[in-house]
Amino acid sequence: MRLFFFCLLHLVATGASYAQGPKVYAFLPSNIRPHAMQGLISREAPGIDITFFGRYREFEVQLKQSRPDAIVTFRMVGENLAKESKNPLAPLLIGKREGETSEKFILLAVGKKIDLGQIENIGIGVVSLMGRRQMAHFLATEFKVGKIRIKTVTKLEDLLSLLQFQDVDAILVPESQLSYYNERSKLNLVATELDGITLALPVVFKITEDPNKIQQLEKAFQGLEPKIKGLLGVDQWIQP
Amino acid sequence: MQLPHFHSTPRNSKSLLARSIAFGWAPLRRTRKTWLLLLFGLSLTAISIRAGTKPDVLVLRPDIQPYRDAYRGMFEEIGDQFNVAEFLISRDTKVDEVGWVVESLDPRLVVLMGNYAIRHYRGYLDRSKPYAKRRPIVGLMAILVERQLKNLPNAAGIQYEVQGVTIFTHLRSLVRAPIKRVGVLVRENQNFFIQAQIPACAREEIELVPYLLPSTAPRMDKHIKYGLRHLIRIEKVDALWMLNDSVIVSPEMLQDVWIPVLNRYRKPVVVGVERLIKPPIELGQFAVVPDHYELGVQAAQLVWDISERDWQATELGFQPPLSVKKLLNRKKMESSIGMNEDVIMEIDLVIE
Repeated sequence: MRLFFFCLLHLVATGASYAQGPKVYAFLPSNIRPHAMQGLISREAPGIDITFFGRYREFEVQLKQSRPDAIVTFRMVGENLAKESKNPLAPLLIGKREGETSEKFILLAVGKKIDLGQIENIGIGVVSLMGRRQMAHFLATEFKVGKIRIKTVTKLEDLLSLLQFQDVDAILVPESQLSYYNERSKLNLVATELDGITLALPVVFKITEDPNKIQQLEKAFQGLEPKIKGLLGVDQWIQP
Repeated sequence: MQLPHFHSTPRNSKSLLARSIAFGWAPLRRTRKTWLLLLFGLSLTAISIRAGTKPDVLVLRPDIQPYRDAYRGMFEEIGDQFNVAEFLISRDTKVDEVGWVVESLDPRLVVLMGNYAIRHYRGYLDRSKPYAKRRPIVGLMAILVERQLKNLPNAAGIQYEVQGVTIFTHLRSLVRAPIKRVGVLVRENQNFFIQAQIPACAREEIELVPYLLPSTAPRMDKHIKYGLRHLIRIEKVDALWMLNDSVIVSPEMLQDVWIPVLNRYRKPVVVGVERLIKPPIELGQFAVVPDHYELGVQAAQLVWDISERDWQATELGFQPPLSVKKLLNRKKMESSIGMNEDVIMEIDLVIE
């Protein structure tokens, strides 16, 4: 009898896994909570089994423990993961918004512009897209300085707290998020534009080589409503 | 990823060790006797630290969920850079046990999570040689941690109390009505906390309107009732902020004062405890509570900063918590106040 139940359970479990579409892990820090994004996309694209992560470490650990069929994240995160795991990740779909595949980063500070000549001496708050050490290395390279003082946070809203508590001199955000901070805060936020420092938009990286799954993935992401694509930070997906 | 940890030494087996080190921490000089005692002690505890290494960071914490979350947040952030060990404590842990662990492991920095950890560690420092006080400390998840760690020469930390400006910024984005003046009842002996909130709130164009209650009073209920009515009718505040003060938010006060007075109040009431927005109490519509995992991440940042300052903590001071969890009683909020539906997806827990 016990054996029968084990067999039944096994059949149910394997049946369920076959019934599910390609497994996708997503790491795209935004103001929307991961569980809310996950619910939304699961409803919109029932053909894929998507899990959203709010923290880079959780995303990284889960990737090591269980390999999905694809990941959705910013290009720099994918490239960093590929570098660390020494497994190249192939883009399946590249996010585009208003005709561009990347957007400018800006520095937001209270009441004044940032003197970029003094960048080594200011404290910068940033959302942790790759862990503190990698973020510090990435920014030092981008700003062309030896060392940079950063404070990393997990959520967008926590960057605002850093400014409110006068914990940093400026926060580094993609230009499209300026409206979010202006809507949330009455602080006199002043943007400093950064020449050539950009954030490549989200990319769907394929891990699976199964053509059926790849087709399902393309169909699911291309078929998302414009509003949902907007929440992912893109307005269209293009082939690489 | 395996988390290294200790468990508190079993009480019946510790007495010899405790006696052996109860000479005022003339700190365990590395004599043969000491090493034997150390080995004996280690054999009685579940230790899993990498062989041949001493921890850079020792965490003292209770073995309950919020502290586990904070430890996980910290470990996942710095575990690949620092050798981290933990020692689980409770109310019953003896100061001698804490002292033994600290002296034996001799970490570069100690993280104290919670009131017991701070109390026990302070007890250990009182008995130890002055040099022990120079070891940097990071304190978190303790009530008014700054006050608890005052007078220690090398301490930094993260306050446990969520700041008003954080709460009101989130509230303002959630509700349609303007939030310009927020009323709060505060006992005189805790007014320093409210006064410290005022500048940051003012920068966000929010006026904090405190109503002072006596620190102690035989009929506190009358003071609370009068204070609430004053804030609502005279001050006409846009929202009420309920502090986590066990004297003014006791079950009796909730039953006899808060619930009857706020029964027909149609403006936001923000609280700091989840149960106050859940049935059957449903006193407030919106709760903002600390995010314990993120407190651990923030503590990790402090550890980094202290290590980069040659293990000097003092100038980093005590920081407010950066990250919070937002909880919403949607039905109550919708029935009393207009709400921005778009912001619902930014809420961590929605009670329908």
